[in-house]
Formats: sequence, C-alpha cells, structure tokens
Amino acid sequence: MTWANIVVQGTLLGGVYALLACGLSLMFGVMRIINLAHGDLAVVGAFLAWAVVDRWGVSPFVAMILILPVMLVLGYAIHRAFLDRSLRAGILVPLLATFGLSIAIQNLLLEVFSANVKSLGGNAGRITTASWQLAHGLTVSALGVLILVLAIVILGGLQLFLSRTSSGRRMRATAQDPDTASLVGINARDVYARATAIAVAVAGVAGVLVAIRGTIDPGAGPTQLIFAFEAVVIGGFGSLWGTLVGGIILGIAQVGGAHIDPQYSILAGHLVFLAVLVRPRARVALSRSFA
Amino acid sequence: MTALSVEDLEAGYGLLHAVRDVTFRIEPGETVAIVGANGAGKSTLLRAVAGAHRPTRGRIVLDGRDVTGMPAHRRVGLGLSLVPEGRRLFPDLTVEENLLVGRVRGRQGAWDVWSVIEAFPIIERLLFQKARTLSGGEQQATAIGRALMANPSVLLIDEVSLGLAPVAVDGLYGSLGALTARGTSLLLVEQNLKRVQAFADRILCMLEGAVVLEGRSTNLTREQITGAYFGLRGSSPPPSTAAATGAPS
Repeated sequence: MTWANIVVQGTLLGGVYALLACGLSLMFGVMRIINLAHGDLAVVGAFLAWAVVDRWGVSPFVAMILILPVMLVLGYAIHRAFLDRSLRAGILVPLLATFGLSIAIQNLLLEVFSANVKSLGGNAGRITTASWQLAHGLTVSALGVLILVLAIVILGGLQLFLSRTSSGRRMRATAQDPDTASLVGINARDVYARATAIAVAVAGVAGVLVAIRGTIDPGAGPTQLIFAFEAVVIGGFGSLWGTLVGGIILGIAQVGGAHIDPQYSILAGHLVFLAVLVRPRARVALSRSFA
Repeated sequence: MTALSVEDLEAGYGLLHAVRDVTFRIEPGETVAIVGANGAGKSTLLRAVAGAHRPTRGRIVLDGRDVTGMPAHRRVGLGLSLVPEGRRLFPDLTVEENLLVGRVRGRQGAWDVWSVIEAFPIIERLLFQKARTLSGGEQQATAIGRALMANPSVLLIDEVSLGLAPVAVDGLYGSLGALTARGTSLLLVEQNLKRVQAFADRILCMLEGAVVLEGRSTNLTREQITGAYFGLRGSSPPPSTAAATGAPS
C-alpha cells in the first residue's frame, strides 16, 4: 500500500505543479521565452487573493475568480511594457528582462505585504482538512483532488481554446512562424500579449492554490519557478498535457523521496529532472505539442 | 480606381539595392507577371509591397490608400495578400486550419473554405491532413487558398509554379483564371515565360533590381522578353548563356 500511497499523493501534488507549469510552457511554446518571473507572478496572484480575502472576508476560491481579470490585464500589460521590446533584441534579452521583473516583483511584494508568511488555508473552510480513506493506509485529501481536477479542467480548457477557437489557431500559427503569420493578417504582438495574459492568469490561479495548500511569502517565487520549470522539462516544452504528466512525475518523485527521508523530498524531484536533462529521450512525450 | 500603385520603390539589404526605382500600376481584375533571373529583385519587390520588407524609398498605394508604412498584417486587412515563396504553410496545422487562420475579421467577400475548395478541388480530400504531409502542388493550392480567405483585392504570388509537376501547374493556372474573373487583381512572379505570355495581361521584366521592360503580353515578343531578361539589347541571347544561367522556359 505504501507505493500506491506514494503514487496517489504524488499525483495529487502534481496537479499544483502542472498548473504552475502550464503558463510557463505556453509562453515558451508561443514566444520561445523562458519567463523567469513566472513563479513571482504566481505569488502575486496569491497575495492579491490574500488581500481580497483579508479585505472582504470572502472564500479564497471566490477571490481566485475575482483576481483572474486582474491577472489577465497584468499579463497583457507586462508583455506590452517589457517583453515586446525585449523580444526584438534577441533570445537573451527576454531572459534578462524577466529576471529583472522577478526581482522587482519580489521587492514590491516585500514593500506592500511585508516579509511575513501568509496562508489562505485557514479561510478555505473544511475542504483543507477533509479527506477520504480509500483503503488502510491510503487516504486522499479533498483539496488535493480538487486541485488535480482544476488542473485537468484548466489544461483541457486551454487545449480546447488552442485547437477549436479562432484565437487559439492564430496563436498556434504564430508559434510556428510569426513572419508568415503577419502575412496572413495576424498581429503577432497582440497574439503574444494574449498568450502572456493567459499564462499569468493561470499562474495566479496556481499561486492561490499553493497558498491554500501551504504558505507563501514575497520570496517564494523562485522556488515555484523551479518546480514549474522541472515539470515543463520532464513533460516536454510546449506540450500542455506533457506538463500535467511532468507535474505528476515530479510530484511522485518528491513524495517518494519524502517517504525515504523527509529531507530527500525536493532532492528526489531535482534528480528526476537531472535524469531527463542527461537523457533527453527519457522525456515523457505522451501528448502532442500544442504548436 | 487603380487597385495597386507602386511608385519609385527602393528596397535592399544593407548596402545591396535589391529593388531600384520600381514604378507600376495594377488595375482591378488585371493580371501582371514579373519575370527576371534569380537575384533580379522580384521576391524582394513582392515582400516590400506586402509589408514583409521595409522599403528605403517610394510609395505603395492600395485602393487609393497609402500603405507604405503599414505593417504586413494591416495591409492584409485592407485587401493585400502575399503567397510567399516556398508556400510557408503552418506545418502542424491541418489544411482546414491553415485556411481558417487566413480569415480576416471584418473583411467581407465571397471567399470561404468551401469557395476555396471549389477553386482548388485537389484540397477537398486533404482538409484534415497536416500541412507538412502535402505535396508541392497541394501546398501551393493551400497557400493560395489561405491568402484568398482574406478576400484580397490584390493577390501577390511569388514563384507560382516553382518545383511543381506540370499537371499541378495546369490545375493551378486553371484555378487562378477563376480569381481574376471574380475581380481579384494578381501580381505573379513566374519563371515560365510560356505560361506568363498566355496568362498575364501585362509583363514586367526585372534586371538587377530595376524594371527594364514593361508591356502588354500580347504586344511583347518572346525575343524582347528574353533579351530584357538577360540584359541584352535588340538580340536573343546565345544558347550557351541561356543554359548557363537557367534561362526561362
């Protein structure tokens, strides 16, 4: 039952990582940008939700929906203000720009919200403590299941958006060949800004869920970025369903590591990531790239 | 009103002047063909007109509106579409998706997926196939269909028949004839002089970036065109020159 428990708990943990990763994957798939501020933007979403909960006393899940339009606008604005210009200056400049953005966001959060650790778990109601016992020694938490279902719904929604809608098709076309896209009437800058808006909004949702599961602080972004990055690499860059698989593998590795010794939890995830980097063929390619 | 007017256009790459002082007009429903040797500036001219290459001088007027400084995607919205050299389809999109991305919001016209299939029947059975799996002729038909989805008033096609089997070329030209009947103006780059003389209303011959010969295709002789093609005056080129430089067929 121990191994079954590791797989189940790891899969549930993988839902959070998949949500954190899919925005990173989307931005890389469409613009070939690795957004080093992605984890910090997730933390921004968490803090915004915390501010909403603190101000109006609503459920964190309601706050998560309320911050979505704000995160969409924030993502669009970030692209227009920073990334758009840096994209034209080569592949290294966007990397530096997002690194700078990451530092700026962390300091801004520190200034506005202080260095205190915060959590939304206490405001989320009984779901944070509810669980089901499936068998002896095998229990699943209601929050874990909710997060995994949410991850699947969001990833499925994004997949549908990309494959079935006009905007999604234009996004995929631009991802494949931006120069030709402009020749068929697509405004690539606008497509990129929309992709960033979606990525930032999903990162915000992931950040809120991280804050419901545990705690956040202004400096938590880089850690979230590392988990997201690892999930994306394990699952294959630019593949939405791959990020879910990557997140789940990372989650299982971390839970498995923790089962051996709690201090091996994060290390086990890193080792799986390194194994994939050393052997690229080992990457999970269960799903097709959205591009 | 003139469909497309290009005035004193110059474009290049750094110090290289690929297009020099090019001026021409296309009337609604007219077909104009550009011929010239490799490196004559034909593709650069088309890319500059479409907005994919920034000209250094000159003016481009589409349906009475100056579009010289406009980005390519806005020109498409105003009715100017380019089928680029090499077709440049989106390889991981299906044929249907390639057509659908060509649709431009707010631009009305007769072209939709079904009218494109009517014009290019070879793509009907390929609609749900990835573009990367198509043959050259199928790709060219899809690329032209994708450009038509924007309901252009002026359609630019770079290297219509390059790399295509003669049967595929026959089919394509048959379909292109139907476009002009619907009022679309065509500006083609084509190497096949026989085709050009049979199909185009007017011919522009380019040499080293400049238009060196222009006239109605019925008024120009093959010798005149070949002479302009190779920069010869008043004589046909010797066979050896033609063979060495890949003469027009």
